[in-house]
Amino acid sequence: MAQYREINLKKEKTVPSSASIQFVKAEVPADYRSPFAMVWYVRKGKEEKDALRLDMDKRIFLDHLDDKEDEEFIRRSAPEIASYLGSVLYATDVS
Amino acid sequence: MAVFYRGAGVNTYWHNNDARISGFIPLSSGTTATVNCLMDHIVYGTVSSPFVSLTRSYGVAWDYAVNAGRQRPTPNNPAYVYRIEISNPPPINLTLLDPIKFVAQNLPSALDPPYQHDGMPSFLLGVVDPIGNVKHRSAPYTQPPPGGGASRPPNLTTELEALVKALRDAEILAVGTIPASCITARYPIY
Repeated sequence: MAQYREINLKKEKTVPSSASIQFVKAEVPADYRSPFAMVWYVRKGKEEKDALRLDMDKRIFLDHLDDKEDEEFIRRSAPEIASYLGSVLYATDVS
Repeated sequence: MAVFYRGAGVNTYWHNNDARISGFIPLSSGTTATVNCLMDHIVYGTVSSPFVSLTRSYGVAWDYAVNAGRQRPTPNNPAYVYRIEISNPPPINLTLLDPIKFVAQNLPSALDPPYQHDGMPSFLLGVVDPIGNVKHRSAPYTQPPPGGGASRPPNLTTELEALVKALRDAEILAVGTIPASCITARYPIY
């Protein structure tokens, strides 16, 4: 079975939250690089059963929310979450 | 027969809807397949496009299925990789585009403003993998003498990014509906 690494998003200051949405954790492959992450979140106080698919390369969520404000919020949040995950996963050297 | 693959993560559209029954239908089938539309599809993930993304690589489809799902795949609820076989000539109303060729035909001439980057050779690593190689992507370009200009990252055009990402993902784009008869297998993976 595929192995995943969990990254906590709840306490990370650079990961945004709104009155309605809080990002909880991301799951990425444990042992190889992938452009994708599953981002779990709480909406209106309830943990959603389906994660949002994040394309870290394109810095976008592949999924959409029906509420206009929530949709706008996750659009704005995607680049910041991608950057944070990148900083946690792949601290690299230019050398 | 040419063989292609397409991944479907758990609880995504093509996971919950069996393409072996419906075929693959693009989200915006009425839109004209222009080169700008194609580049937006590859680079920015534009949702309403006339294209269905396929790959020549089972590994690329596997990665998409396993990691771009809405839940982890399990033996009881696996992700899927579809196998697609398309004849030559393809079925009526279906066109397959090699994005490399399609973009290349529309590149500027060598005397026009460049589509090429102006960074270090390692800059391309950052285009292939912008998260893992962010430093290569954002390292300032090396200025020609006399220098002294404003520091900035190298130029990255949509054309170059589309070419690199299409190669990385072994991507082929279908325009039109891929009939169900072309979908010869759906592999469960977890």
